[in-house]
Amino acid sequence: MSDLLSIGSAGVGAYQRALATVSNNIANVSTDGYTRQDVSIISNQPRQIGGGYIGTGARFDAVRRQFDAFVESNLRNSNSELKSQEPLLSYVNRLIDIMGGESVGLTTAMNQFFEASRSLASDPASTIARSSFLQDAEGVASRFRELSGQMELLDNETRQSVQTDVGQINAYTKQLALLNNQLSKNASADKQPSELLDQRDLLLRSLSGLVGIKTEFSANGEVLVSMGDSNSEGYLVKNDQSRPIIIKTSANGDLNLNYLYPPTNPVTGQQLALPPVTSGKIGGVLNYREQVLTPSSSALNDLAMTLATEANAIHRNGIDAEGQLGGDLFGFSADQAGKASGFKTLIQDANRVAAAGQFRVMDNPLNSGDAQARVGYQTPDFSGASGLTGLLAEAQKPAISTEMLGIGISQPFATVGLVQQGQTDLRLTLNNPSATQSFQVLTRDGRHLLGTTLNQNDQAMLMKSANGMEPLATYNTSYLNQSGSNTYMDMDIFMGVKAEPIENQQFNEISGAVLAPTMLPAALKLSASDLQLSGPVAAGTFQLNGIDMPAITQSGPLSLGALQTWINGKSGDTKVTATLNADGNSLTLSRTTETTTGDIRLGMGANGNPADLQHLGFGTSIYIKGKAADDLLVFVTDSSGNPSAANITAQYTSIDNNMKQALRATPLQVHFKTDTQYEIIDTKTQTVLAERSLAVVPGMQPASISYRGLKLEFSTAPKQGDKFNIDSNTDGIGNNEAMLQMADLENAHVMPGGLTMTESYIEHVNQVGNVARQASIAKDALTVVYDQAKQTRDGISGVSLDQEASDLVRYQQAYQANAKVMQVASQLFDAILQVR
Amino acid sequence: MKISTSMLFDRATERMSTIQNRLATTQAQMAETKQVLSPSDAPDQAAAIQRLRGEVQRQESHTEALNVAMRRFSAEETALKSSSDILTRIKELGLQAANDTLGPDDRKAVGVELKALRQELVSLGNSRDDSGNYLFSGTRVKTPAFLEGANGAVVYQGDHTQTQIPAGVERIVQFTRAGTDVYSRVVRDNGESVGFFDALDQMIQAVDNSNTPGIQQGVADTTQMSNSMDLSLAQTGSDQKVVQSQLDVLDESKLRLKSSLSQIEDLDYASAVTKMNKEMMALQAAMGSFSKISSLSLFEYIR
Repeated sequence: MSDLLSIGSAGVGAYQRALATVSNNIANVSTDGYTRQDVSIISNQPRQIGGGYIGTGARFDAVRRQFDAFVESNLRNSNSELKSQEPLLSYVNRLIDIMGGESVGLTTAMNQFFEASRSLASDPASTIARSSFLQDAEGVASRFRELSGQMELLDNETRQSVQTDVGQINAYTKQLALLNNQLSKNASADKQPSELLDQRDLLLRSLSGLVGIKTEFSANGEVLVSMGDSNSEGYLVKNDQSRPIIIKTSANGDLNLNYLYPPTNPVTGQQLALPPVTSGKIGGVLNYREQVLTPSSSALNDLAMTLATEANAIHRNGIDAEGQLGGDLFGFSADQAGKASGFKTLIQDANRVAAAGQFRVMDNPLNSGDAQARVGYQTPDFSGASGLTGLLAEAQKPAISTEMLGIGISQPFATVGLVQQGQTDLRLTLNNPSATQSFQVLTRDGRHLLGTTLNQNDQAMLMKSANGMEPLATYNTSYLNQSGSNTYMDMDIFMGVKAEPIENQQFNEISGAVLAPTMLPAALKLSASDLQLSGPVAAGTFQLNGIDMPAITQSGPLSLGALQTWINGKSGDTKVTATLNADGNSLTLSRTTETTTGDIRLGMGANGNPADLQHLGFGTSIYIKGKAADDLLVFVTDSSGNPSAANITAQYTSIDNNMKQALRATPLQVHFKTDTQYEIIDTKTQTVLAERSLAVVPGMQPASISYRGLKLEFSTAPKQGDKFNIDSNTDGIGNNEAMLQMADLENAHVMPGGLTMTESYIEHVNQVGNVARQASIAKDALTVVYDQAKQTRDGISGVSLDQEASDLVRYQQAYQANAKVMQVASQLFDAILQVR
Repeated sequence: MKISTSMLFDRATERMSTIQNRLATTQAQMAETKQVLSPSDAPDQAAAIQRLRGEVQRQESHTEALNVAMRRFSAEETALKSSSDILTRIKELGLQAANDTLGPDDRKAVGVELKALRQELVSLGNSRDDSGNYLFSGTRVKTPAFLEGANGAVVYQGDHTQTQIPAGVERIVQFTRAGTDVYSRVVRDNGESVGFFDALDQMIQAVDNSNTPGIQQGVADTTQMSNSMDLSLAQTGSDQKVVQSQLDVLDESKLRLKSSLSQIEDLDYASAVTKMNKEMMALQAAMGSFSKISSLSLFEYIR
């Protein structure tokens, strides 16, 4: 009876709680992260009565959480993986839309630019074509800037997204720490309130969406969260401690995640760093930045650099509408050098667009031949010396250098080096020469300028292309040892010893200000101690100011007095007088006319050699005053047949070498003296620069002529008497050579891998497209995996209303049955009470 | 395996929204008549589309350049044809003047006409194209080709640079012509080279002075001049042919490229409409089934 009642009431109580649990489930059908709760009802301990046991009913034991840890962690991991693909895909698609779009993409602008260069090539004189060329150049530049700006936008967006997510992660880890704290109050997970555990799992799932995590659960449900492998030390949440993380931007724009307060490993003492993020939303965004955005950005910068470099090289080689050399077309702003964001055009004036080539050839209208000529220029590659030998090359004022050069037997010459076109105020001295040593100065085309006439053997020895000679050069002595206006290209070049007027700086005695300098007259001094000349001296051994000096018949060592007589005898022609000084130890030569402007030049005549000058006490020097007009090859020959050494000293003021512009400065004429022999003439000085012959094979196009890099081609063989003039094309406004090269740039393989610029850009878009496709495929696959995991989890932990409804009915019936038991117990008790 | 209630609803809405997305895309495609709406729709095609578009543009710009060349060549042809006719007339007059039956006064009359014809030749030599560039000045296109000096002699002011323009992949076309190549010098039997207008002036002088050998020389000169004029005319003609055939080649390749582009980019309406119908049907089925299934609940039946 009492047992019946207590069993009944216990049962009622139990099923009441069961009903409460079921209604809890029903109420939470849409709650996020809710795990279904099931009741466990266990039977009470049986009581021993007599020989047997009687059960004592059932009681409510616990609420069981329908939860599978493995399924849950599976869901978390697949969530991380899926969430890493979504931002990757969406950002990559955005980048493709930008790079491949019609209005923002680069290919349209570049095509437009090259189209404009083609139209300009068709009509170079038109200002309209020039203006639209400039506009399209600006169009390309601004497109680069826009693209760069869009990429920067993406960079900022992704950085901010990571920033926000990092803040979110810190919030989650903090909450987990608090939760751990609450969970620590109970010793076993079964005793923990289900809602607390649901909250924990929800937080873990959200956290896994942001970044891939590893979890370790302790017996009472507390969780240890970490990233990567170092579970125990590199943790994010442990017990009630959480470690916040922070994001840092490195110098090159990379994002680095790390602990805000990096802990130290107690064993090794080193600072712990956060393991790299590979999955989760942050992982996807970082992946995008590293693999797609940064390479695209630097590819764009490289493309900008290449376009600027190549276009500028072509443009600088052209002539603009005003006859001047073109400048740079593209450039970068000062603070953004080398980056597409600073790309701009440097020319605003349509007249400064350089379309024309630098050289032009004109057939003389009266040519009896039908040959039409074309001229081009290519930087020549001469063998032989490229400057003065050894230390002599460093002899720029105020320095002065000396070199010892050996002369052998089989090759009885030494190469002093190349005097470059534009070398100024050069002086090369042969010190203490023997009687058989001499300088030889030749141009690259065999014009002999200074030295002694070469015999056949010497000609063959020196006139080789290995020494720097032009192919097909011929030997010529028309300009040998000439002076005044008869020299090669009117150069002031002299060999011998020269004395010039000296500048004397004047100062105002009172104020100290610099005044115009006065000139001290030129004076050449022969001293008795250096004099070793013995007569008789043949006529023409010496030359003074270009006049051959007569013979000295007296034999034996000559005195200063004898020399004085000898010199003064010719001073009417040479304009030079000699005066003995007071003590008779030296003879000074000075000018009679032009005392402050003229110089004194004592050289060798046809019968003289440097040794003769040495007997007078002077070394032989080569003097070039002003700029050397052409490249000159300098040798020292020794006709003795024995090996010897040449001691050379050099000094020059500067080198202003620009052969190409020197060629442009004066017009050249190619004149055919016969059908195959031609000469090249500098029209300004009427100097014959070269005499060569042309190889003509009947029926084939004649060979081309090459002069210091200029290349002249003929359509057919020229005839005797034909003349062709080459000039600098300063007024050929219809010439389009430079613009043709610009148009050809479109197809030039200037990018790495042998691609043109447009191809390389499209290739890059293609690569980004591939990443997008792969990400899309990965996303689809991962979505399936995630859905599977979700479905499995829901199958275990999700609430189904139908199931709850049937449970509701079951427990209701059980409740009613137990209530009926209590009713029966009370009826039985009433029956006992009614016993009288 | 059990399906929870929330999973049931979530799943159904997810599927419906997927179908709706697909339908919206198909509708956008039909509105724009393009299969590839934005490069991210078909990333692997994006590169091919860009390349083809660029090629089409390039062919069009080559065509434009060649049209400019054509116009110029026809302007040259006009000038050359007229010059050739004039030379024929000059030769006629020369033969007439060489005839001994004419008297000095008659010859003077012939001389007047010759002078006028020579003047016309000078102005033909200074013809210009539509952009105002002189045709026969070489690259000095803003300077008249032939200038008559104070002493009456005609001087050539142009140059000889041969300009070329790009006319396709690896094709260039000769563009400028030097005046002295067209109005070219005559080489006499004794090897002497005389300029075009100088020779004409000598002929006119001979006619005025009734110098028969001079007139005969002039007639011989005119024959030479006429021959080289015809040569230049032939050259212009052949250049025009080259340009025309290049234009045809460009047209064909443009057509080919455009159709390749269209295959990738443009929408096939028939299949798009079919797809749209299919998707609409799928959406209707999804919606209808959802409403039927979601209304089933055990609670309805527990009374």
